[in-house]
Amino acid sequence: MSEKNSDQNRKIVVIQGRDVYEYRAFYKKFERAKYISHLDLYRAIQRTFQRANIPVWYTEGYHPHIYLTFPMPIFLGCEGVEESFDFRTTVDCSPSQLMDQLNAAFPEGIRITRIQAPVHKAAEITKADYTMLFTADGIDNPVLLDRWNAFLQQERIPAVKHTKKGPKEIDLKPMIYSIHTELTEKGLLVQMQVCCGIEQNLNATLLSDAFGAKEGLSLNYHLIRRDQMLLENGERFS
Amino acid sequence: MNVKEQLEPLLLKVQKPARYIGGELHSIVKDKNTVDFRIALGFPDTYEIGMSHLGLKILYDIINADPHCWAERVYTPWTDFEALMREKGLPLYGLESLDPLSEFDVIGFSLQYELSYTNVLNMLDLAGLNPLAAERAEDAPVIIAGGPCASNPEPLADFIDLFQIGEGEEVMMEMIALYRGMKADGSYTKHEFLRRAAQIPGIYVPSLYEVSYHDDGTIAAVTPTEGAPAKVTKRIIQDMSSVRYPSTFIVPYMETVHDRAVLEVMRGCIRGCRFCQAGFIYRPLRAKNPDVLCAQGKALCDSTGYDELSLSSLSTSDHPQVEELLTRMIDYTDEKKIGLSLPSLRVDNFSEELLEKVSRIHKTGLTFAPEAGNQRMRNVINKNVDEDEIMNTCKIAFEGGYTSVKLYFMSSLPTETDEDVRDIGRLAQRIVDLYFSLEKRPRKMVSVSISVAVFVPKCDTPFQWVGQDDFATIERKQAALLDSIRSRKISVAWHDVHTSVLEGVIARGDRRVGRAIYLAWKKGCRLDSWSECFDYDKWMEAIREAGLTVEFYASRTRDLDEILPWDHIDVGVSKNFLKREWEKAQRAEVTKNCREQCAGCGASRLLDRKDGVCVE
Repeated sequence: MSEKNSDQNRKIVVIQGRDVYEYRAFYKKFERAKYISHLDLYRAIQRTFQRANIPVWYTEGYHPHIYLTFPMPIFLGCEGVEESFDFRTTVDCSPSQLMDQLNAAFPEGIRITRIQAPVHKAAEITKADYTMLFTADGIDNPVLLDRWNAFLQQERIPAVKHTKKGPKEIDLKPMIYSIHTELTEKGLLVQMQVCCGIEQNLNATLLSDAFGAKEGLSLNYHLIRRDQMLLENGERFS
Repeated sequence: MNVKEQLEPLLLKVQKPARYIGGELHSIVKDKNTVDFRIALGFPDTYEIGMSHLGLKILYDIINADPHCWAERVYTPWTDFEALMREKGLPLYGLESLDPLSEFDVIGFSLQYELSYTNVLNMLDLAGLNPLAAERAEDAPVIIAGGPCASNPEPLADFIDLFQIGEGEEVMMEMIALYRGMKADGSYTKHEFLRRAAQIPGIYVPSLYEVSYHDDGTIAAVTPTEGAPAKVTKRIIQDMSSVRYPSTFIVPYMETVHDRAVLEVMRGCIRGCRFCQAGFIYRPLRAKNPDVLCAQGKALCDSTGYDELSLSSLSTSDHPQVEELLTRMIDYTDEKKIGLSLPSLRVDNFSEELLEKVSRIHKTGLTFAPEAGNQRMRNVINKNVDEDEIMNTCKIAFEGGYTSVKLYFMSSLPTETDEDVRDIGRLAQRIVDLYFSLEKRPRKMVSVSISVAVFVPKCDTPFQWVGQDDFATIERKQAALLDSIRSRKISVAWHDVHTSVLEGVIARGDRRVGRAIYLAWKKGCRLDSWSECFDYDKWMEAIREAGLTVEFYASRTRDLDEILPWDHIDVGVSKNFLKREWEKAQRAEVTKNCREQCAGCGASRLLDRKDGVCVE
């Protein structure tokens, strides 16, 4: 596999002597589609390519499947406004036409906002911005805010992360770059920048769930959204 | 706050929230002000199971094709969501509108297995409706049911207002027309609707029948009232090639059990395996022609984007033009990189060419169902395959590159001895030996898995009179089988004895079994087909408290002259035919398949065309 004359619309890679065109699609995941897990999202997008009748490139293994890669999977329950996946076609296509064809075939809650040649590598992502809105059963929002702030001011914020090797206790504090909470009519509106990457990753709800667990509260999430993913230098992933 | 806003915070507290929110591609949302009939098509099990069921997809499509009607879906919530619904007072709702079920005109349930019955009661209760039909309010939705288990509707007679017997495409729309008409002209009362619905062929209204019993507990008489027919005959579609079939399916967001395009190639089966209820109640055989099938398969894949297409029927290799069908279908599926699966191949007509066609797409494992371990038992159940055919098929499969074979068997069949059960293990061993004797075999380890179900006698089969093995006998036979297996290359999976016994009670139950179902549900039983929820002890208490015994319903052999609880439901095959088959079974005599020789089962009566035979 090698690269040749790519432009901002697509990258051209040569696979087994054939030109293949690589694109990065940015999409929004919202409303009911937020309840899709990553694996199900992957399947939903594959089916969309089938329906849209796009000359998509298949992997060449024993069980060929549509080539799709996601930089950082988005977790179930989380909306996204600047999410992306990479795919390839066997024919040079116009990004705007691909976008129209795919958007016509997507289910509710998934829409592509632009398609371009991949610029950064997924491994360059180190942080992400999240917005959350939550309340808790049986407690007024101002009281909830006080307890939330006290929770965040701890020296260490221990939490249990469920990994493939079993549960593991980690400190969330160093993974938070910035956090700002506002009291609104609908609940606590939290905006934060946290670790997001292959090396270190903090799902926004891991922090709030650790809070809920510590305080014995059942949190009601009204919004969980990943706003953007960033490189170490603060540049937006594109 | 509308249901959607009320739902959102709850959904992130439960597993698999996509089960509960709808919005899937091709789900049909109408403006409720433009329709005058709303039905919830319920499947009494989880979303993943219910969404895999073809029958409800067909009805959803047909009903929604009528601009006056809106059909939605509803499934059984899992325990975590049920607890939240009860805590927050959220009523069960339709997945399309998110409106409470109590606002619907009709709620229907597809009855696929007996252990889903408590889910029917639980779903009605979650909808805020009394599960007992006699105590439901006049303005409550009409509760209907259909599906294979409706061939013995009696255990649910206390809960269901109306059953549709047989294939639903036509009778459903006739029932809806009656309902809409009566609503429009103001003549609707629930009782009057049910009385008139009972005049539609294929509709059974249990409340219009009185059942009396002898002192020994058997039925003395079933008496229709208010002009209801003495026998309700099931409905069939005369011409499968011209009946409407969905051109698309709802594509779920989350993975379901059968997450693929399904093409129904045929209804009915020519085989007549005596244990198989489906083999009798779906008679006569009616196949779709290959032109229609190719067009329908293509439409489904194109509109859903599924990468797997399943050719579904009770025995797809018995389709009269199966080779032509596969050849034409494969041209399309290859080009689109779609996998073609044939879930029900028979051992005896599994040709090398057919295998080659299937294996061009998939080469994982092969599944066969010899059902019994020796020839006498296979003759008893009329599974007309012999050991040479089984061995030959395995040989073809192994030489074609397969290394894993899965074999389905049943134990506790009528006339079966412990030695017969041991023969299952011996047969599996001979398949392992065969593998190692082949020079052309793959250079991998062989794996033979055998899956053994406990036989449960079902209504409308030649074994409908037979006493099921009791608990101790089933366990003894399972031990005998395990003891007969000597190789680590053979793995064994068992069907649970407890659920089989309960299934045995309900499957041939009469109206009085409804009391046990009600009491079991009251004790908290639901999702009984899920081992983590099933509570055998509660069920046994419920059966006792209802004044019933397992012995009477499951393990008692019925007299051939006894009035059976389902005798007033006519599925086409005659009782005399079933008696003849039962007598032949006891002599281990086989009956030829319908294509070789008509056995006179009686199902041809259901066909409009009166040339006497069903199959070419």
